[in-house]
Amino acid sequence: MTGHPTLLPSTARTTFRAWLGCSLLLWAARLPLAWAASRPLALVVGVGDGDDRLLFEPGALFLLEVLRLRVDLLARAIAPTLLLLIGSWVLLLAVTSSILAWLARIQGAPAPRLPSLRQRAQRVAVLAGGAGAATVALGAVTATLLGATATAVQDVTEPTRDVLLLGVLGASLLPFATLGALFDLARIHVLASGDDALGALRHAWATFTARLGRLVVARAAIAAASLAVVAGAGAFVATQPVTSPETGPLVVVVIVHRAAGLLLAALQVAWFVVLVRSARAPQA
Amino acid sequence: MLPRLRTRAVQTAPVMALVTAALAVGACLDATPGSSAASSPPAVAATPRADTTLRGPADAPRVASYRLTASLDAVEHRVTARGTIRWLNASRVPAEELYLHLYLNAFSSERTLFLRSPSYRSRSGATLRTPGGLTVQRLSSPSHGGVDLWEDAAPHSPGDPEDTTDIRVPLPAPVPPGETLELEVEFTAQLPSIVERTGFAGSFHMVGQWFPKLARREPDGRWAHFAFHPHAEFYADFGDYDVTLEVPAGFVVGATGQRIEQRVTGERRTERYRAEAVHDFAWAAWDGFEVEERTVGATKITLLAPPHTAPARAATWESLEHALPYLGALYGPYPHPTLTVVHPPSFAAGAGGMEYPTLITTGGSSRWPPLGVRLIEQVTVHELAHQWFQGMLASNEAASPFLDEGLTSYAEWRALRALFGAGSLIDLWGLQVSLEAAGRVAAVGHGQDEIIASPAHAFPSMRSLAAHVYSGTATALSTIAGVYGQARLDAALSDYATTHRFAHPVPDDLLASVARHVGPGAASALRGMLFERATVDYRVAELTSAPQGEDGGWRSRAVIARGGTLQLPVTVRLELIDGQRIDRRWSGVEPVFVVEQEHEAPLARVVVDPEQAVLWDRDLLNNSRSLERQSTLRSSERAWYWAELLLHLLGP
Repeated sequence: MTGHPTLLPSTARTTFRAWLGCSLLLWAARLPLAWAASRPLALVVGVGDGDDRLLFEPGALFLLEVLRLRVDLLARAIAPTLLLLIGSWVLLLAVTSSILAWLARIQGAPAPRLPSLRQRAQRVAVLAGGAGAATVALGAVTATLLGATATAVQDVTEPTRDVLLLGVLGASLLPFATLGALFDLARIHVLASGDDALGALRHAWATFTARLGRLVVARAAIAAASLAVVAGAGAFVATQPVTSPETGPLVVVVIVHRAAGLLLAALQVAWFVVLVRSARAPQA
Repeated sequence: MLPRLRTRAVQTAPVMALVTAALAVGACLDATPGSSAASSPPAVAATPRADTTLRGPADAPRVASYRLTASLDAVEHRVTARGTIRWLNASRVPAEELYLHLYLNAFSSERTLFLRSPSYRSRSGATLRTPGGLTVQRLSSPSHGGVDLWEDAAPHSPGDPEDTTDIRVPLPAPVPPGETLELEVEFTAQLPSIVERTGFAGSFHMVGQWFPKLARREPDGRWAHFAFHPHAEFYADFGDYDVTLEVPAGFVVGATGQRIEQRVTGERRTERYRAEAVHDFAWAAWDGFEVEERTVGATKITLLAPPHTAPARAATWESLEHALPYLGALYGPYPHPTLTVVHPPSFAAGAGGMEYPTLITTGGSSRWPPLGVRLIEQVTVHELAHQWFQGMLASNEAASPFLDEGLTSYAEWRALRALFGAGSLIDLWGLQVSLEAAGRVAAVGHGQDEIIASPAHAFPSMRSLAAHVYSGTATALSTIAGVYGQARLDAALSDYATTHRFAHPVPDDLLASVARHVGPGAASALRGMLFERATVDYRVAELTSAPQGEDGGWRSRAVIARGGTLQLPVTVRLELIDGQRIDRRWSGVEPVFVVEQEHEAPLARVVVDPEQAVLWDRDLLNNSRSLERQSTLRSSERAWYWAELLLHLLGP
């Protein structure tokens, strides 16, 4: 199948509607996937007679007892959870790629004759595999660096060691963020411009270097906003009497958590909008 | 001492707790209003006897007193010293020999009993980079003509040619009971790199076990001597210490006792310390210390800590200001005018977590206090509690380590629960983990394989000793308090701690106090847990409930079984669906208890020991059974949210 993306007028209103719609789509996709991924562990919690006090009991006597005596059940639950999370990742890759393609269309990206959907999907999969491998490699390098730093700085004072370790940790986040941005930009080029994987990476790198300042500011702002959303939700939920047998507090917590999830999805889509605009700019 | 093993375990505990909380997907962002720990600290239930009847330092026997002058070479990490030891033969038998402990020789080579034991690595995690040792140049007695007694000293510990930490010194003539022997001594202590408790790291020096120390002679004339084992600590007689220390002028010194003199002459600083009625003397010297002083009650506390450790210092002060009066109210007032607290720098962490009379070393990272992980508080209160169970009671730590470390751990749990409540170990993002819960996991999970009241060297590993001696004893005592009443156990421990001040108690003294104040049943149960590996497991074996005809009533039947040999009374609770609770008390003597009850509302659940009094119970998960499906809505919701966050964080 081939396609000719339709150029849509890129107005603020259109962008807002697209952002809103894509946020809802991403949120709606995550909800069932998260629910499914959480089931194996949630079911272990429900085994036996512990009920909800297990997780909410001050002192954690029963939580530690479950970890002592039911560790085999927990271990068995982790495998399906991980599998479900991996499956969710693949499904979300399709959802976010669709969102990126849609945002690129309404932002008026160039519309060459695109390869078939299958070809584009294969290229995105190649990019995803590459990104996954690079992430693992980066993780290994970071762990090695942290370990080496911790060993090398044994004879310094604690504050100095803290600063050094935090510095290494902070610095290691930059390659991860760069990798994520490159992956998303490359996806945009594959999906909207029909590049092959290598060409998309080259374009992504050109975009990244050309729009570095804008991307860094946007990434930092969105990360800070995401943290604020999570912290805000946590702070609010902490005020709720969760051990109360009444369902009212539980309903409030459900609403707050779902609203936080929606805001997080909206922030991710906002990041996609920034990327799509950045991808368009150097080629214009 | 808080074992390094345990400290490390505790350091990983927050990570484990967070991981497990994430796995169980849950509670981390929740906190019940009002459940915060410090909101309602329990009142101290027991009142020790009036101060006027308490034995004080003045009443303590002076059996082994030391007057020493020592000089530190901070470049060579060497202490050169000389002085006088006065020893009273307080036994009923003439003494024809002495036993001197040269503990520092444990670090003289990899072949000593201490370092060749696999346990030493698991305890400290450190390796010996620079050996150390204690060399006695001369040991003479004016009453024996001034001859050098050291020439006839045994070359090594009894039966162990590789170890020189336990040396027999024959005397030319016996010392009759009640007579005092004066000894002149000259020695050099070469400090090792810090492996455990003592040594140097950079210019930091923790000087413990640094002088030739007389073993304690029991009243029947037996010397309580032993080679230094990595599981064991110390045992010594009380005496007065008068120690003059000379260090580089830029160094700050903290030491056992009260500083009574100080001066700087040229490049050297001289400080003189005097400690009354103590059984050890340790000191620290470093040019990096910052000094803070506060007075708590009648005690002047000096805190020596590295720079830039404000959170650690604040946590240390909070712990000290709470625990010193709290433990004093429980076990009798702290009797000394001073307490010195040394927080070693991170590169000398092996020196942390140790107790000496009137001087303790703490430890733990400065990173954790703001996050609600109570490592520094735990170490500080643990070592402080040793001032009672090691400093004043001075039981034999090699033969009965549980009397010191076990009771100290229990006192630590008590004091920190009073300060922080259910979050006495971790109170992080709403997840509260208590010391009791964490300690119980070690005690019950690992801690019933050996006899708790065993000698230190009898445990197969440091992990085993920590689980039995530290956590096991504290869990056993918590169980006694839960079953028979906190106030009664407090009264028993107060009696034990005050009656045997400065008196070297033995295990039977503890059991006698428990029998006197809690009762013979409690003493028997405690003996079972400490000496006989007694266990207990309460279990709901059967549960049925059925409506009774047309009148709407219900009849329920629960069968509760007791496994193990320990017979502890417990409550069995029936919970009805309308919230009503029906409690029945079971003596725990019979192996099975059958509850038959008529009630109006349907039965929801039966719970054995709903107040969680019996922490010794081997399996808490079989203590209840429900007829109604239990709600896990909250846990499921939380799991869902955390999975959503994970997908946001790691998703494409």
